[in-house]
Amino acid sequence: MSAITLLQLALAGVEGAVRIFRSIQAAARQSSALTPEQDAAFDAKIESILKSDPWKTDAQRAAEGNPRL
Amino acid sequence: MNLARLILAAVLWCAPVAVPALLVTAPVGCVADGQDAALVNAERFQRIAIDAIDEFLIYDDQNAAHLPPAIHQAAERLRVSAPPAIHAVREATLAYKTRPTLENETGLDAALDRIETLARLARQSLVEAKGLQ
Repeated sequence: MSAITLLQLALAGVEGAVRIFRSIQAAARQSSALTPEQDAAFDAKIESILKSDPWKTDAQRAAEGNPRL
Repeated sequence: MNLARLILAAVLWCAPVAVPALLVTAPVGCVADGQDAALVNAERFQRIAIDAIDEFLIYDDQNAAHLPPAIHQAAERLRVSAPPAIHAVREATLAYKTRPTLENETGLDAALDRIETLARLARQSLVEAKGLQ
């Protein structure tokens, strides 16, 4: 393998790493405040979690006839 | 020739470590231009805190029979105190988003402090519970 080929491979590797890093930076730039639609989805997800069995107290579970084992 | 090999070796050697490290660390703390860092970080933190509490409550739910009473009591306290705290932090977030005043920011900070305390209790209890299993 010639020196030029090795150098080309090395440069391609560096270029690839730079491209990956830039794509990560681009993804990071998408970090922004939630839109109203995302807010609504987040709130719906929260309500779903809060209503799930693990979030119910022992008393609530017993009252529902579904006691925690 | 030697230089080229050296560069190639360095790239190949570093890639398995550097790429995952970049993937993990780069997005942390990044806020898009023009975005309110306080708001973005508050929303991120809420997700993390709710996930932490949820993880502990699920663990308690699945292992309540085998856990010490103190751990289960901590879970029961969270079941009572976390929902209103979560609702409060969501309301404070939306209030700040609607009107980003100093007063609303203070209210958001206070709500975040409350949920942080609960998330810390959940994390500590989970670590303790898993350590006992």
